[in-house]
Amino acid sequence: MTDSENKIDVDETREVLASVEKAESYGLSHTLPPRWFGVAIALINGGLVAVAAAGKTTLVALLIAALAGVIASRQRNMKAYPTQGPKNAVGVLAAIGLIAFGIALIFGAKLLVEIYAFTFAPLASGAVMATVIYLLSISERREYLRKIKTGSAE
Amino acid sequence: MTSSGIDSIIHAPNRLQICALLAPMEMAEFQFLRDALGVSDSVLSKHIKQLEDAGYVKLRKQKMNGRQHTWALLTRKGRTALKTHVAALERLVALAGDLS
Repeated sequence: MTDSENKIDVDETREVLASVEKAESYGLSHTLPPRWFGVAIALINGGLVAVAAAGKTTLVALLIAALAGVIASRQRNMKAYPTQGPKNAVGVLAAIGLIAFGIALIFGAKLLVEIYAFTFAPLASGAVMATVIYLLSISERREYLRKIKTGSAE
Repeated sequence: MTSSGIDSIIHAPNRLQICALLAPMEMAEFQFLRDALGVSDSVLSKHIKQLEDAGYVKLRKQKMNGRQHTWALLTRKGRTALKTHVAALERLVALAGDLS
């Protein structure tokens, strides 16, 4: 193989690698969750913690139905689905930690109401949960945008 | 796959694009892949079939809003093959860089 043929092969390989990055970015950009989705999920989860802490079980059922509705509405016209669930052990631990945090907030708020009669505690715990989930959604969105920019699907 | 990691099934431009498009996601609709690649249904079907036969891609059929939709997803084997193939290409470019 001549030097010129070698050069063409390398240039072509570079082009192929660039096209792979471009395709990965394109795929990723079509699974980027919209901003409203993060806000809705944060508000509903915050609401869930607040009403569970306040002992309003009927409202818990309503909010779970709302959560399902929001997810269904997001998925209705999607042509590409993002990767579902945690991707590694750290992600699984983070998900377990988030659920444990939500449960701790519910029981913490219940205790504050029972012992100190802090009636605002369920609302405050709901606000904390909503804020945490909203911040997580922003962080996830930034990570998506970074990957789209760099073309890295890892 | 060769010992260098170059995968002859993935190496074809359209099949490589299909794998790269599917890599960052759970699954994509057939129509999405067709539009992204700018090919006809029959061309895409042919490439998907080859990837499916190699165990790199799986197809799922779902009925949504009264219409049948076909979804494609990259299997674990397909993800590994894509990673290995891309790594082999990167090595090739790096090697050429060292030689020049």
